[in-house]
Amino acid sequence: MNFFWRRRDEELDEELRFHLAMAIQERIERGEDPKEAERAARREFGNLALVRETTRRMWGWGWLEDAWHDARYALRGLRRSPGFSAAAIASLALGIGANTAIFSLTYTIMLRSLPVAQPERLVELLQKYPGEPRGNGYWTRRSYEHYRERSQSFGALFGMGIDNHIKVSVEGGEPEFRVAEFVTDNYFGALGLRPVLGRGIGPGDEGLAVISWTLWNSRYNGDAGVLGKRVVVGKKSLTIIGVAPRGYRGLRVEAATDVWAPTDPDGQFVLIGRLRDGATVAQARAEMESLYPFTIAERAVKSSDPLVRQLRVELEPCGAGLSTVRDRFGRPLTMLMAVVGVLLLLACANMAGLLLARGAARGKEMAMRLALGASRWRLARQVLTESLLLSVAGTAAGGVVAYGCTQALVELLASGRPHEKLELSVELDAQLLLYAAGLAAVTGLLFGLAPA
Amino acid sequence: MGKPDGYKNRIELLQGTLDMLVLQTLRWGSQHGYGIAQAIRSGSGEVLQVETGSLYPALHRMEKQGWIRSEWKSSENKQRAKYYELTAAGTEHLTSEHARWTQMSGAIASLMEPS
Repeated sequence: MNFFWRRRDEELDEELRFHLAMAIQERIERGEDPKEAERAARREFGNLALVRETTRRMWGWGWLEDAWHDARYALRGLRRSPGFSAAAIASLALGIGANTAIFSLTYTIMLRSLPVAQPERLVELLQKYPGEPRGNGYWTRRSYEHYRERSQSFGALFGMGIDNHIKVSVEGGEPEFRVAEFVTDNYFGALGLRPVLGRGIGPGDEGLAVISWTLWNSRYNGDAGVLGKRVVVGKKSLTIIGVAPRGYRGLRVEAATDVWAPTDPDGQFVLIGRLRDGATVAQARAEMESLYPFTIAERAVKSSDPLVRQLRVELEPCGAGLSTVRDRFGRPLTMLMAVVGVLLLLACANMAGLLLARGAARGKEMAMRLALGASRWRLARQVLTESLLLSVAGTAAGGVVAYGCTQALVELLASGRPHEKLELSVELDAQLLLYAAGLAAVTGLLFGLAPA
Repeated sequence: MGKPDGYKNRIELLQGTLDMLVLQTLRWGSQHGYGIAQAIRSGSGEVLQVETGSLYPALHRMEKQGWIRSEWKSSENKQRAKYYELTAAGTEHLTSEHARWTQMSGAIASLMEPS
């Protein structure tokens, strides 16, 4: 490609030089003084560089080639003023990096939908004492069955118990600590999960288990013969009947579930409902409030605490998964998001300032290039390329900063709570990275144009 | 900055007209850029001046459009030069341009000099 261009350039040069040579020669043949002839011919020919530029534009590849030249020129220019470049790139990197990191975390904890069917129709059933910010409480199987039979607002109501730290041993190996969910028989059906192998846990299943795609691949090498094998979970030996869909790691945001097994008859669990088509959260809440005295009565039998009578039922959408991290850090994170947003604007303003200062300093260069026959549009593009290059470099550096920040933030969130076995899988949000880069580029374009 | 004296009585060509004149010049055989410019100038009695800044972009554009093709040959005085020649598509384009131009100049003439 490059060779092709150079050859074409050389041919054009030769063509134009031939034209000039002919013009001079003819004048000399007419009897003009050679020096005078050359001067006159050159004057008549016009601006050689401009003729070459306009002709090259006709090849159609001009814009691409120009872009390449612009990029190389801009790179040289940036290398000539390392202080300016470093300052601009660093301020962009920090702005973009911080935003991407915080947003990625916010997205993971607060917004990312569970990979299940219609996650937006899932609600969690909570029990709250007055004044308590977030509900607590596991529900008994009796309560669960009571509501499952009576409620009209839910297409499905299912329960799940969690063990964050249970010994699991596969293939008779050493036990390892894993996360397990003990689920009611309608869990897989209600979430619309289709196991990649075998089936999910269904009615009447006992002594069976479903394992995660990750566990299947790391410990069984993705072998289809895994079905029917035994896995020891806690004290029970279970038979594997299925492998969960890839990417599904349970209902909680900050834990990666590896094993699903049926609930114990006396187990307690989190209750989650899937709203029936057409039913609203408000309807379901009203209905649950009327049914809830059943649980109060049940609890009052075991506890003499008068506060039990003040318990209320609450419903919260949980399509983004259950998260104690969200309960604790949701609001601070939202505020942090706003703060880093301002930081990005500051970074852009900073870059604008740098570009303006540089533009003022380059007035002379621009004037000279205009005088040498460069078109105004070409100069503008030149400056824009430089700004874009800065934005790209800033974004790349920002990506690195974002990666580091995200890791640090996740570790920070997990620190001091080893018993929770926090495991957040935060993915850098490419969309936001692009958005921030776009903003930086626009800033660059706007203020980069000032000198041109 | 004014133009050099020699340009005073010359007329700058519109793009479509330049295309037509270049194609017309090439009807009598292949020619290099300088030759085309000279032919137009002398053929018009030194009235029409083709600027290099218009001629070469036009040549390269028309080559891309397929109206002309080019070849490197050695010129009358043994120098390597790029010669252009008319293609079938170019001939066709010239015919239609010529007809259009005849119609238009006739129309302008009848407006300017009503009989």
